[in-house]
Amino acid sequence: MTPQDFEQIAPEMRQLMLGVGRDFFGNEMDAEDVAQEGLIALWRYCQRIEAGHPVRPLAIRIAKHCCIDLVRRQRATLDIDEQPERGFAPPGTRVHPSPQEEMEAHELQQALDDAVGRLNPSEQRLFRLRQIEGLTLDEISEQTHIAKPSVKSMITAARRKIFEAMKEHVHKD
Amino acid sequence: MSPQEINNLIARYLDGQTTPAEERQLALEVQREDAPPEWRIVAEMLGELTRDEALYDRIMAERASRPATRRMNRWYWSVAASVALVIGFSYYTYIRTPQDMAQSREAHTIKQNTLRMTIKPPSAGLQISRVEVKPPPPRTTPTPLPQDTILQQAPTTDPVPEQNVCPALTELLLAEITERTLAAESYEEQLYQDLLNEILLNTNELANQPELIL
Repeated sequence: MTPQDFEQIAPEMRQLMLGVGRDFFGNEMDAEDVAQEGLIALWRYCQRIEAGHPVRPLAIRIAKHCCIDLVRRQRATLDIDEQPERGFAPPGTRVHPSPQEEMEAHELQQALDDAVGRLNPSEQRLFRLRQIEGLTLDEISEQTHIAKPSVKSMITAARRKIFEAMKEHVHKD
Repeated sequence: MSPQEINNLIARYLDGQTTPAEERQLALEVQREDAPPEWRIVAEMLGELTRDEALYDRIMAERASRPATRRMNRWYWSVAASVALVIGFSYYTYIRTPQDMAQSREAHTIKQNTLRMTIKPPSAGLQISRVEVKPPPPRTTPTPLPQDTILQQAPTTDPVPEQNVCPALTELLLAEITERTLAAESYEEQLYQDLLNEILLNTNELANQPELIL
């Protein structure tokens, strides 16, 4: 997708993200932050996809992620890390990881990128459509013009490969 | 969700059998502090977008359920307030008013008759020469009667001996009762008017007979 293509869809995506932010925060200032950061993230992803690809579901997912991320940063600013994560994260969920956990997460992310990079292009595409854009098997089948059973088997194969590769990486460490 | 249930969900996820909603649920479950390495791998595969979307949806669902309770409470309170208003309005409109009117008529009748008794009609042949205003007697605090005295003076339903009946007093009481009964049947505006007319009449008679001594 070229910058010109993105400029055409950007106003609509911005309004969509503003709506998600308003619903969550109930104020215009935070909603503007969500829309701004969301558009940047969406643009980074759109550089890798072809023009005409439907990005509306992804824009909503990114906006929701930006809402939660903004809450995390606001909490960090207020220096209430010692407080339990009341109301936002389920019990036992670590929203603020320690430096050690951050480093492990970074290594895991690297291992994931490597594992995805070793998949064949079709598997990579289907895995991203499912995991990043959050599309259902039917939606992926409709977009890629691949039969749903084939989509399912390819996604299963991709997940298995990635899981085994990452497990090997973890046990190696 | 128990660890066994999470492992089963992970197996279904790797087999491509989970729905997006189940994957969002799984993304939240595998974020636990004591998560085994396999869970952390699955968490990384699901990605932060899935996890944060699950968090966002959960928060919004919790918020949506709270106002619903408030709305329900408000609904109950508004119904209760409406019922109370209807009952109160009905009481004052349809229940209290006839009784109140009757009591009011009776009270005004008693007041009117008391005034009639106070303002004595002038006797024929009397001439008012002057009007003397007597000062009221000094106020004295009544001493409470002993309980036995009160009981002795309590009214009785025994028939009064014939020799004690005063015909004139009986006639006066009967006239009074008749007058009160008739007066109770009229409206209070009419009673007020009668009272005023009578006062005016007595006043005029007093003015025309300056020799009468009250």
